[in-house]
Amino acid sequence: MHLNNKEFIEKFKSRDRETFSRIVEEYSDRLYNLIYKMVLNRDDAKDILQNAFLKAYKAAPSFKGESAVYTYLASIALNEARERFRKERKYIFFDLDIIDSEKEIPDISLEKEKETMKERVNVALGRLPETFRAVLVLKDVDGLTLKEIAEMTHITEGGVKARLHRARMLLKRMLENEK
Amino acid sequence: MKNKECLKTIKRLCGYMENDLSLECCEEIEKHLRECESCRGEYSKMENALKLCRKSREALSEEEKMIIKENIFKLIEKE
Repeated sequence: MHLNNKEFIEKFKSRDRETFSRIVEEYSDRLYNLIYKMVLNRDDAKDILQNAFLKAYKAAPSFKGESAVYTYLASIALNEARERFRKERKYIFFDLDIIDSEKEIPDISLEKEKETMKERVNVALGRLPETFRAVLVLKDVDGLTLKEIAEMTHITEGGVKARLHRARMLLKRMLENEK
Repeated sequence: MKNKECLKTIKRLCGYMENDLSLECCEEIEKHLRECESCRGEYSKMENALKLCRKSREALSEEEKMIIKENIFKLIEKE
């Protein structure tokens, strides 16, 4: 049965364990990748993944079915990751004033010469402010549509596009600086 | 040195990549990219950055996935 099938969604809403188990199996990898790229820490990402599934299960009866199951889960995971950002503040590297200065992107090349491609991307993502990183991760890492992102983040589609443009420009420059 | 046309193109690159512009806009951008080496370079770097992003996936081991799933169901049982 397809995971966005009406009958499947009804079972999910009634908290059917078998259905939920299938959802966990199906989406763990994708959600983990999304969360990891937001928090850039394995233990935190695993913890957030677990909490997000748990919250989704508890709130399942109120799932309206207007979005796909994955978008619903991703939305919860994103909020969990953001909450972690706010509580710990350890993921925020610099503020928007610095970002707005065209010449002051920190040079992250010196100690990173031998890092793998994955690490290079993670270092660059870690330098993006949370709002830019969220939009970039949702679009370019996870592959959600602009419309889905707008719904999840409560920003207009125009706002998502503007942030995505800025985030991509910043990411490009950071990866360039790093070489 | 970037001129007005370059700045206009760079500003619209994201929309271009998302197929979110009118046919006329796309044609303008493509024309400029054919003519301007600097903007072509910017476009190519942007594409490469996004490719890296898509490729750099993080994964859980099978054991980690199993533990997480078990934990979730244990917590559900407790509720």
